[in-house]
Amino acid sequence: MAFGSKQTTAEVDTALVRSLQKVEAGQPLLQVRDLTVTVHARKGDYDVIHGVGFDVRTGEILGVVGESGCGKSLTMSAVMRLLPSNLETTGGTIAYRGVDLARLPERDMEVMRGGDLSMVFQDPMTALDPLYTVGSQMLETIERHLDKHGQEAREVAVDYLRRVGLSEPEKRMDQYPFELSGGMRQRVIIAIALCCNPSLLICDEPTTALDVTIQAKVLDLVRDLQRQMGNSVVFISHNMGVIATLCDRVIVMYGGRIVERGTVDDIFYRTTHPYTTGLLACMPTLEGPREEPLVPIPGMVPDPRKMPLGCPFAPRCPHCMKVCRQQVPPEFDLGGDHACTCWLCAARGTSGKLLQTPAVAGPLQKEAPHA
Amino acid sequence: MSALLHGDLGTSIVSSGYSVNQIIADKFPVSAQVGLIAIVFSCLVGIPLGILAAYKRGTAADRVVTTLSSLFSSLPGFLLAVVLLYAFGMWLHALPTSGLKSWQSYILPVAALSAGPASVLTRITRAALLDVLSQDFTRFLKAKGMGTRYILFKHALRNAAIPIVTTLGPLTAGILVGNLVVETVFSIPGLGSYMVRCVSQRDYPVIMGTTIFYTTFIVAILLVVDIVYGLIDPRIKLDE
Repeated sequence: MAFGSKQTTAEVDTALVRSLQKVEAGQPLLQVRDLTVTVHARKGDYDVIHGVGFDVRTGEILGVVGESGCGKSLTMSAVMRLLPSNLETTGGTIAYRGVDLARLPERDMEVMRGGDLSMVFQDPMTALDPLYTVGSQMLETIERHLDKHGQEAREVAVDYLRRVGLSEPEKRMDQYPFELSGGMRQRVIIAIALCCNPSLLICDEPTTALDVTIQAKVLDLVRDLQRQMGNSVVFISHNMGVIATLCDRVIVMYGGRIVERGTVDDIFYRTTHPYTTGLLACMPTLEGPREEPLVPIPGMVPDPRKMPLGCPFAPRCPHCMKVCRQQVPPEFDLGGDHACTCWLCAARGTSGKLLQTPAVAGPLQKEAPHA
Repeated sequence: MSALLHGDLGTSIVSSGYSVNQIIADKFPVSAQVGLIAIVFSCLVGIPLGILAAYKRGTAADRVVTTLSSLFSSLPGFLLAVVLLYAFGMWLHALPTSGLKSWQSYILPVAALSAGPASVLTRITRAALLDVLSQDFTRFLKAKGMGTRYILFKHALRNAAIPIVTTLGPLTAGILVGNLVVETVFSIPGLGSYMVRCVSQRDYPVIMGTTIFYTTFIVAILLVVDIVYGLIDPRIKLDE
């Protein structure tokens, strides 16, 4: 453990960790406001995330759904400050327990990552360094964030390997990743992500690369551990079924914006946004008549460089109106946690009030002639 | 043929009375000494420069290193040797031009010998590191809160070691056995320059003997490389 672990002294660590505010249960742990992510490209910069704002409360599982390319992973990578080098967070705040992660120096951010904030990625086959044992990859994390070394650190590691349901945790410690199956590796990764007892765990489609039987087991594991440890989880998925069984609240993303948010019941039983309706319509069910074909959403996710002028979903929307093509809809409050960013809410005369003024960002207007 | 299998490479026809074994025993240590210094020097220069270029990728430092390494790896050895000889020996009179009498006389041949391998190593190290740093596990290491330097030295470098060792093997063999051009230019009494002389004198037993020696040496180095693979990567096992 020669490098890195000594870069940050224990004092720096504790000073930052102590400055983190205690958050009461049910209160927001993470408050993201107006988050904007810009891609720096040779042909000019363009935004991929347009002023996204959401809360993660303590002890809840928040689902993030949307098709591929809607900005789910990018939003959470921005929160973790793990964006690829040509992408940059250009606006907004990421308040995490009273600390704005967007403005935290990189060294302090390293203390947060893996310690109080953790992330699990999609593909367990490539997420571990193939040349080091499972144990050494767990121990480096524990020694980095917890003031534990040697036998003490090893005990923590073995304990977490047991908690994620790996048989013979002692033996696993000395095995290399190539000796484990995909499901076992994803358990190891979850163990690594949880071993420093983070307050927030971000799971970026952790089951997509696994086969179906293992998927269910990993989902159960995430839920059981969340209940045991009481931390918050952000679960990114494009599988509505997974979201329904696992999450407390859901945000639906499309075209780098949040189009609908609410409790699982709001999203599944009081569906308001046509995009959410579309996502639900293409989900297979066991009960319904078999002859009925699934209804896919026509068209494609818009290219972020050629975003339509108004609502990003307008070109694919079955209920598209004139205003949808001209102006980005504001978010309408539908009562409780439920809110929807769609002009239909205004047209239907929803009692809800406007949450945000319509934000028509610069790049959208610039791209208008193409739209 | 049976003599060959017993390790006897025959006798020289030109320098009568000398066995090929004796010639190799005389000349090889000279080449190996210069070569060993050159290969160590190449590693000490090439690998750190490669790491630097990968760590500072896209910056001016990276561009300077990349440009210099492509320049030196494409520069023919004899040209560099002659230019060095002329500049430091004839023009500046700073360094001796021939033989291996003092430590100063090692400088020019070592520089001429290591320029190529050092730049090849720089390029391989940079490319291998960038490849590793773009892999998923690097991102997960970052997500665990590991610092960039820690990831670079502890994880990326070991993962990048396989291509580096793969190139280093044949490079070492080539340099140790003696570079004929460099040895001829700097009048070093090594195996390389002797072999050139034998070719012009048609001393067939010596030509054949040194060729066999050179081949055996390369095979031996490649075997060492394969063993080193096993030490670097747990997935490559020597038994089973």
